[in-house]
Amino acid sequence: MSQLMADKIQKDTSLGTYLSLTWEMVKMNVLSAMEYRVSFAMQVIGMIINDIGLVALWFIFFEKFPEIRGWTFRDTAALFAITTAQFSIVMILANGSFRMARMIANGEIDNFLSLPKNVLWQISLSKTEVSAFGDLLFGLVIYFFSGNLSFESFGLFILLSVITAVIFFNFIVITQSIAFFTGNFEEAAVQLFHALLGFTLYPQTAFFGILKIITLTILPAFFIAALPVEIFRNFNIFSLSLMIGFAAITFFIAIFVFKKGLRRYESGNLINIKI
Amino acid sequence: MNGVYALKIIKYFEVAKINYFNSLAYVINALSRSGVVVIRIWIFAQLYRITYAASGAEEIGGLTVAMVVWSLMMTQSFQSSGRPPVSEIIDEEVKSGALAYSINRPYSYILFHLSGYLGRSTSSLFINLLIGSAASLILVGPVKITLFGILFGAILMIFGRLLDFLISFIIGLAAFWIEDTTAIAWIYSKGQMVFGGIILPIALFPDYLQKIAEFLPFSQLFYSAARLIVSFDMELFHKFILIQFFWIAFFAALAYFIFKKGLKYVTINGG
Amino acid sequence: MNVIEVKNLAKEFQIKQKRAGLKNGLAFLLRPEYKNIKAVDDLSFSVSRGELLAFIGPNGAGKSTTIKMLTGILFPSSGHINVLGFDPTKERQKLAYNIGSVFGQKPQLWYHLPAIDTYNLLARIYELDQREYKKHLAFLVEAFEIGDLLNTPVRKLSLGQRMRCEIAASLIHKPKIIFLDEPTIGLDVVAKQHIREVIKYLNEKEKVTIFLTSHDAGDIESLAKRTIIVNFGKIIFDGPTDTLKKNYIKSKIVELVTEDPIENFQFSGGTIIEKGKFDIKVELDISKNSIDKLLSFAVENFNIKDINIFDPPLEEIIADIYRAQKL
Repeated sequence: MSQLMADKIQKDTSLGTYLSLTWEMVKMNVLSAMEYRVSFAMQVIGMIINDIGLVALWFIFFEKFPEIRGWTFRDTAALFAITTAQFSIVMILANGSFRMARMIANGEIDNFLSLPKNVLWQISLSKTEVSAFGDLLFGLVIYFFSGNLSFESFGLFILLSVITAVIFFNFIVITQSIAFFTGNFEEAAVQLFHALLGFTLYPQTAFFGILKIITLTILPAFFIAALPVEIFRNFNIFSLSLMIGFAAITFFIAIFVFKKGLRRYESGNLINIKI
Repeated sequence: MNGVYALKIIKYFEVAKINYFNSLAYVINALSRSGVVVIRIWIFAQLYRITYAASGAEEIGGLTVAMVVWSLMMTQSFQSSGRPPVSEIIDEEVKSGALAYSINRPYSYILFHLSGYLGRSTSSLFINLLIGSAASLILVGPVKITLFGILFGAILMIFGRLLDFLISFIIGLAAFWIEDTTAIAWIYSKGQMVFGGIILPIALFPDYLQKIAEFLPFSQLFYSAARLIVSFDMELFHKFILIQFFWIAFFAALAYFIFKKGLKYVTINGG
Repeated sequence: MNVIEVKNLAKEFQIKQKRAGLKNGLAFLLRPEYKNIKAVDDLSFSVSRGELLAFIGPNGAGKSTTIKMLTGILFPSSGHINVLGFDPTKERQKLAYNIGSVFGQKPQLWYHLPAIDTYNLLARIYELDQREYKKHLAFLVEAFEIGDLLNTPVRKLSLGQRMRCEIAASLIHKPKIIFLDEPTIGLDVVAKQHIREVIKYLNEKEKVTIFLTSHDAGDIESLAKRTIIVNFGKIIFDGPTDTLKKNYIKSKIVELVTEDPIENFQFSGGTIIEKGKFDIKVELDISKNSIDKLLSFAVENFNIKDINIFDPPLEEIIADIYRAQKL
């Protein structure tokens, strides 16, 4: 046994191991939530109704105003398909990251430091938002109202959802990690999240001026909403590369901020440290 | 006789006052939430400018762009000051059994929560309106608001909040029978979003939907007050106040009925 | 062979000073004041393989801080730590494969699922060979007697059952050292006894080094051969638990059972702890008076049926040491 362990210590954990472990963690999270069957079902259904409400609103809007600077209801359908898909990916695979600011304030990161696996990965998978399955279902259904219905389009839709999910995740990690430096950032991080989410629901052609700049930078709605819908309508390899590039850059920033924050946590100079 | 009523009123006023000052302490939280409101107003200003430009009209449904933005700002302020939702509080009380204890208190349970709700929401309402008005002024300029508009609008607003309270209260009571009332609360808030005129004013609805939406309770919560303030019309006021009264009577009766049923449930099952 | 070596370990915190009131609050935001707190102050000790030691101290003494540094969760301000040949600061994950911990407030077991699910997950997290894991799990299940608890959701278990499962969880990967923080807190006497037996077994038969923190003197007395007491970040006692008792006993407790009812009992240096109609418990300050004088007094004045003489509870001894430190 110890010999086998010694081998483990020499090598770092492989990606394959992390992937299969991720699957195990998601399974356990779902099983855990299934203990409350009724609540589980209600949350999924509730989320679907939630999303239907959103679509209904914009359906009514586009009934009265069929086109906003080139943006039609179909574009909104595509938008919702991509945003709900990316949102559900993050909520299923990394819901714990939403709790990070709170965990930091309560010193709950200690648990994750005691296990021999990547801390951010553990935090992310510590929870799964069950209602996200409702979102995922909805995203797939609303996709059919988007107008592009070929196999390639579907493949593109999946690809775009994954890339935007990564950007979304990076955003959450960065905003939540600020808690490492200020001790208490939970409410603010939640507000930033809602602000970003807010931007992604509107016809993206409505933004210009300073608002547009905001969507290009601190609340990157451009990259997770406007740009993917544009690529979905008119595929353009340059735009796609831009998106992937942005995802990669923000990923490295997120990891950097998190690592720095974790070091700070481990030196124990947080305001709310409990001796 | 008068003395007894006076005492009763003072009691509820005190409850409202406590909740008012309590929530004033959360000014910073309210301010950050107001930040979100400002961004939303900004988005609305741009969205509706472009929308109106696309139709080539200055006025649609009796509203200019500026009036649309101001009415949305007010609707949103009214809506967000109603948090935390009463349904959550009632749900908690039912689940924890505190409800059973409260029944023994010498004041009406429902009035207690109503005063709490009004007290809580008043401070955040003022802050939201203040900041929202400043933002609207800067983004779309002023709109012609008359004294009548404010007066009668305020009446609609107060009754609208009463309606919101009643519906939220009933949802909370569902906790007697349902494990998780948040799903129902969600549906209610979605109803507000679609038919409550908080993102798309009812006046801008396609004609066939407008009549239906105006009659539904959702539009009477926050939108009708905002709509009236932004462009006062006595006939409109009459229409709205009647619809409000209808729904208030309906939900008040429903609340009473469900409450009684719930209490019976408690005494049979011991909470 | 030393599994833990600590040399001149120190940890300082800078805590922002908050003061009440709005004016002070504003001043605090603009120019925060920091206070330096020495949580751990020049600590040195070593632990050899197979030891079972109690690491105790009052709240705020620096215990948890030290343990966090030993496990790599916290960085020291200065000093050296070596655990199983690793520097916890630099090689935390590698060290994690070889140590286990049970912290009462931070459970490992997933609340809504049966313990077996957590065990299986842990086996994968620690990348254990499946056959070895199954064998070892069977052993743990038997030792802790948790066979019929394995498939019950953890939330349905009693505190004692949960604790047994938690400790088993910390042992899935056959760690060489385990850190146990308050393992018997909140348990009834029978459950406490059970846990203590398991801990003893682990230490004696499996040669697992155990680092125990507990406020329960019974735990310390029955389990730990060695005790380290920390206070104000310093070690104030490091030695055999027996010595602790012998050197620090300042009083004895005498219990008397009499034939006739006891009305009055006055003895210089003696404080009455308990008094019934026919029995009495007196705590005698042995610096003020002696046991045999007390016994003579008792025999002379009462019809004695039974006499028992006890050492004061360990917690009193420890509390005395803490108090002495304050002076």
